[in-house]
Amino acid sequence: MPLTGLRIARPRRLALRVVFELAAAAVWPLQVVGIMLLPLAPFTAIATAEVERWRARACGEDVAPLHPADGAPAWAWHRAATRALWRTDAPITLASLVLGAVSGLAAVLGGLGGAVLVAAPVFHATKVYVNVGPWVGDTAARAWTMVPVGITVLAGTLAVLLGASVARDAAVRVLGGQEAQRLSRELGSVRTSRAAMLEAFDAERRRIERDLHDGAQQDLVALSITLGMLEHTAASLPGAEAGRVQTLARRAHEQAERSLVRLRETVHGIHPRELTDLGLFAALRQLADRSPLQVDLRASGDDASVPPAVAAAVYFVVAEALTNATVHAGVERAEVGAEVGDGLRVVVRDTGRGGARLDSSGTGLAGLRERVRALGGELAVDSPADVGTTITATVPLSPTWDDEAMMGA
Amino acid sequence: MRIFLTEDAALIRAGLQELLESAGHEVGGVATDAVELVTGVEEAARAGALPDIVVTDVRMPPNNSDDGLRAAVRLRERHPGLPVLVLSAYVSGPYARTLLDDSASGGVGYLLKERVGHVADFLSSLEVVAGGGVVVDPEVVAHLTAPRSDDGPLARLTPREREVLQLMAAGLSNSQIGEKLFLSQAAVGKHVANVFAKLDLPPSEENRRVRAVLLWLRHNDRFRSRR
Repeated sequence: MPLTGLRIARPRRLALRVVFELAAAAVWPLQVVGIMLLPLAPFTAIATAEVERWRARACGEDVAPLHPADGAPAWAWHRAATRALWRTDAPITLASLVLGAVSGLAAVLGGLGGAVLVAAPVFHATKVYVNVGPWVGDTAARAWTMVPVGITVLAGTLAVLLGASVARDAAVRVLGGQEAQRLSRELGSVRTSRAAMLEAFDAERRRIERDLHDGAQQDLVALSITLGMLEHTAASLPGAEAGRVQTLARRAHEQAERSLVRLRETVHGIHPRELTDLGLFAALRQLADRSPLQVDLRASGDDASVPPAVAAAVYFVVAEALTNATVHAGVERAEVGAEVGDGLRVVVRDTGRGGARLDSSGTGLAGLRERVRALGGELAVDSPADVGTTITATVPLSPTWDDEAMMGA
Repeated sequence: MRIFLTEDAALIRAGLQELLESAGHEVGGVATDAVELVTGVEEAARAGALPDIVVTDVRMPPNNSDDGLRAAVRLRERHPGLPVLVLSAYVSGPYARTLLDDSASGGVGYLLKERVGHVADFLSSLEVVAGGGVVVDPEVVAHLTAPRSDDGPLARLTPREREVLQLMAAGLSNSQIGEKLFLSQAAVGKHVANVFAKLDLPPSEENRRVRAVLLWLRHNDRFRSRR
């Protein structure tokens, strides 16, 4: 829509456009040299694209710079290695070269030609006759008739320059805009695949938990029972060696039990079984019961609608928050609120020492924030010193970008 | 005692069966999943030979969730007072509560599987449950009984009485509690009487011991009522 460019044009901008076109025409030979020197070609293209974007912004177009906001110094070097160079920068450079050639020709032929024609009466007065083909300004009348023609040529030249300028806008907008669309599409698919990956991780953890429970744990229980029977039988053995056998049997039994306890703790850390069996709220109740703190738990809504990956992430957030409160806050009670509505919102609050930060509190909560974010949620820590700590996790029940990604795909 | 045994893991099932039989009990029926448990017990009931006690795993096929527990609860609905001892691979308060919620008549137990290895304790728990008592695994009890400020009648108990009640929940008799806490029979008897009095359980109340334990376990179950 080149008309948009004209519609927003104001006199200052029209002048600006003409200046930019003349500058572009002047730089054109440099561009050509930059492209011809093959190793420099990618950077010429990137520089051209960046300048074109800057120019388009100056003319009122909504185009983002290539230069990243965080100002990484080697951005151009990185960009040279991406396909974006060929998809957007190269076409923009090509358009820039073509339009630069048009502007250059128009400026030289039209600008100089028109100026000479307009100045024909002056030349006539100094006995220099302007000569355009068979048409010679050798009489005053002929010289004066050249003036309107010259004005027309100049006006035409301006029109060509403005047209080239608007065409540049269009090139940047269309080619660069595609880039933005492509990026947002890619971002959508990256987010979706990140969430899908987390779901897969979670399914995998549940599978490992199930395998350990059905395999190693059961075998250890069976072993423990057998050792218990051995211990029981040894207790009624006669003879001198009986005491020794009893001691060994008891020790073996204790060792088997200890490894069972450890295994059970490990399995619980991988994925708490009660999450699958009883749902999120009951599992949180378990957490509250198990905590050394007196935990006031309030839960509302239907936890059956919470997907397993979300439930697991939130469960571990509450577990970590309660552990932190126990270790750092110096309090005896804490509050946990869980609410299922459009999304899941969980708040863990204590009135302790405060001063908790995501980066300083170790990898626990910071890692969990990434897990929550990957599900499209957010984890916030509010912890003013001597007031207390409030940790809030909000997670949508299905990632909000699902629709976006579907539209983009 | 005639026992109906349900366990899906073959090794554990064999171990349990051997243990029970070597202790002189009769394993009257064996099931490997929750469906078999229900049909097996129902068949026995129709034949007029309801088992003296059902021993079952919590997590079993067909759903590999808390199927065993739910089957046990269902069986108790149809046969009130049928003693059930549930074995679980892991500590879970809610599981214990689900079972204890409908256990006004007693005869229920919830133990971690590895307790079976403590043969003498396990066999005595079995007797307690079969005799209409309540046995809850000490580890589960510890989870359920952290002191709360909103304990109501339980708040009236002294720490010692609380300790006694906790051991009562684990299925211990007065003399066993005395041994464990190094108290005389008379002292234990006094504590137990105090517990009953403070929990408003008059001597006329039947099965006071079971009721005290249940009251106490339910009292800690604040979650269900709030939900």
